[in-house]
Amino acid sequence: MRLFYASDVHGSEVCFRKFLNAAKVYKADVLVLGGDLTGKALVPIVRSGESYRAEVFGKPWLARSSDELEKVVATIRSNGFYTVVVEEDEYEKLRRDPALVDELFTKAMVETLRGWVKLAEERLRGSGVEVYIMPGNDDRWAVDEALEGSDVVVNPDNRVIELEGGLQLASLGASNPTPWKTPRELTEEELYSKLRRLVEEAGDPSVMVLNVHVPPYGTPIDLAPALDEGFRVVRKGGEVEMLHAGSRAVRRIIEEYQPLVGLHGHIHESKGVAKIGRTLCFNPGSDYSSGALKGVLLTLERGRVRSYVFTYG
Amino acid sequence: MDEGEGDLSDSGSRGVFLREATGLVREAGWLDILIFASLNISWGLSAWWYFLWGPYFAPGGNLHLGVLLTTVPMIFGALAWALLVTIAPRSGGDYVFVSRILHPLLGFLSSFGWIIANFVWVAVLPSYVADPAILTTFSLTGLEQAAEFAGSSIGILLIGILIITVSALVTILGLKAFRVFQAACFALGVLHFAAIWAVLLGASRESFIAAWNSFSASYGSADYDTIVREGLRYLSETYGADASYTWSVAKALPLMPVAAWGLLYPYLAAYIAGETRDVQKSMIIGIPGGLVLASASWWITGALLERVVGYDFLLAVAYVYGDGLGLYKLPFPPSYFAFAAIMAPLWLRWLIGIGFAAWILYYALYTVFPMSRIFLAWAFDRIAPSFLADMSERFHAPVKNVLVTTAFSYIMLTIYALNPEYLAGFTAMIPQISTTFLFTAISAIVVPYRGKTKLMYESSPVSKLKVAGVPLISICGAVYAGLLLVLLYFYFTNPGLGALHEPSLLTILAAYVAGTAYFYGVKLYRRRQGIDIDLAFRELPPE
Repeated sequence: MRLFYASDVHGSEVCFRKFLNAAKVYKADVLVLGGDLTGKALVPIVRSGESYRAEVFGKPWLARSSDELEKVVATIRSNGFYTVVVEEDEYEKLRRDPALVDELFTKAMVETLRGWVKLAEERLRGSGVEVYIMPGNDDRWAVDEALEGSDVVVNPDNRVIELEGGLQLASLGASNPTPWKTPRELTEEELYSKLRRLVEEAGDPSVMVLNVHVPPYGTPIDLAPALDEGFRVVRKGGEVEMLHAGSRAVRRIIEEYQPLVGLHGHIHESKGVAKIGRTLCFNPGSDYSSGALKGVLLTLERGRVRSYVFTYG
Repeated sequence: MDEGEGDLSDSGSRGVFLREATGLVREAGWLDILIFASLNISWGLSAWWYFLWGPYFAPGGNLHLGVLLTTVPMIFGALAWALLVTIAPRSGGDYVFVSRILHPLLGFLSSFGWIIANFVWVAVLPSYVADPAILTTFSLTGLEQAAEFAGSSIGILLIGILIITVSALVTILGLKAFRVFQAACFALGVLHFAAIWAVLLGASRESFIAAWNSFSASYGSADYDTIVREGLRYLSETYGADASYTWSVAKALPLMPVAAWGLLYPYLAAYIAGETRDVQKSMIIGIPGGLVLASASWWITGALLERVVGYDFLLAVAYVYGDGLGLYKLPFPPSYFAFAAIMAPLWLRWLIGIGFAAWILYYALYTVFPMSRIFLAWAFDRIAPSFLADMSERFHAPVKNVLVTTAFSYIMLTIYALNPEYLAGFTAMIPQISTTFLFTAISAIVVPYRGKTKLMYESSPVSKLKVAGVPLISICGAVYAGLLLVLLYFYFTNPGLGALHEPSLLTILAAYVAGTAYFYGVKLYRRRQGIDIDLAFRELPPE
């Protein structure tokens, strides 16, 4: 069975479209998108008469017609940012009201995910490809509803699902605590408890694919820059200080149960593979803002990772 | 739409609402890239080469014009590298984009060519720490016996082993040690030039002649006037060359292959693109910036040498020394820094000598460090064994990878120390120019038009950079390719440049054949394991 795994697309339209096409190009039987689906920025496009203006990180954009507006929106969206078209007074209102911005963020996330699910249905219905899309720690709970009710896309979060060939997919999108206090964070104890329930349910470790957004602690795939209270990167002697930011609970579960394979994301910088006992753990990293989809393609058999290759599409 | 064309990278700004979320942090900035570029050019070592062999290979060719003729097209080359890594900001350099844009085999051979050349450089360059750096410094400070040892085969071997070992340790100790070592070398190197410029600014032709004559006499070497007279006479009678110093472009063109020995090399930072923040800005400032600074340092040094030492002397001493006329009897080769140092007090001679060595000391490090990135990229693409991608838990560095690189470096150093003729440094440029650089230039030309990478190009800010409707990256690639072809013409038509050294060329050719066989062998082996490594190179269409 051939499984393609990617993670952390953070709202990037182009990356999601590439993810769907991975089934055909890489001849994958199963697609898994392992969390952090939603974007981090909302770009207000201010309408003024017939023209539309936006400013993205200090650079102005101008569209003089709806056709041009479509192109501007597509370009901004390809980078994982959401857009909202507003009048000048509405924009000023948004600037003064964080709650309103928050509401718009949620709306944009849910609408975008609904669009993605619809796209997946259009492209993959009847193909026989299994598609698993799981929210991660950055994704608000409200987005779960967008992943429900599809006959093609399945949200595997906090569940065990039997895959083709008798493999068991045990998934969890939550992470251990981060400096950002993101929506789906659990203490290490809570994580351990949830994971233990999942792996017990999955049973035979030799057929278990552990799809957990956060990587195991103390491995080459969980190294992230240290941050201070203001979220600034900590430097010592001009050198960025790196620390292990993975989960101790995830590591403990892998050490104790030795699943066939671990699929992880969360830390974009730490692409790689780590071996914990008999378990191979992968983090393909993420470079979503460049429009490139990082992933890993695995050929799995009962009790054996037959092959793997990292992709950069 | 217009005005826009923004690089939508992860940084804050007015007009955009952000929320707190996890994300990628890249650590190297434009200054790191600039230092990388400057050190890989090695202002000092390549200036020594240029001011010694430039007049030799281009008698009468204006040294400033030679710098300009090489620098201007090379700025396009530097931009081609910067723009390519902006499109594919992933560590691994040319291997990454050539394999994706042109063909996986060409990507592999491109980085393979780089590795072959760098195994030659890693043997040849540390030996320059022994001779001329230590040899000249010890001779100028009265340590004749130590100088003699440094210049011997065993001296070169031991000094080379020491440098390679220290480089390996620094790499294993991590990026922090690397940066401290790099910054120290760069600072000492800049001080070296400051000291030389200060000495030359305070000197006159007369004071130089007096210092030269006095120093030469102690070794029974010819005086200033004799060298100029006999050197120019020999040049005229033996080669029939018109040595009048003019701004003739035709006369300055043969300076290009000598200048290229340094100025062709600002690209190194491309290998850490995946670890660089604001890639476009950092690379566009850093890579061409390092090139321009190097050229400026040569320009200033050349102007001061012309005023104090005189072009005729530079030309004559190159022939007197190069063709072994028996008039030059100093224990070290002629160099711009020795010319300045003989007029300097003892403490300044030490600074000048150590500063020159600093322009070479880090080189073994610069071979080991990017090579670890190439091996990592190969390992991730399943072309190289997985252990090469292993990161040590203890050191957070690819220790196994460094050990393999270091072992090869020792072998190459030993070969060079025992038989210096076998590994000709200039020959090392042939594989680099004809694969690494030329494939990069071609990648830059075609990237906007190639179906497989067109999308990646179009979604990057590089696609917005056009001149008269033509993609800037293609223009840069074309000018760069033109420069490389001109250089290959010189290297292949002038045997004196040393690039056509038969044993070296045959070794390189054999290495390429072996590399191609390895690539297809691995492909077959992986296929039997159920891995199609071509998938690693395939871009996914979004539609």
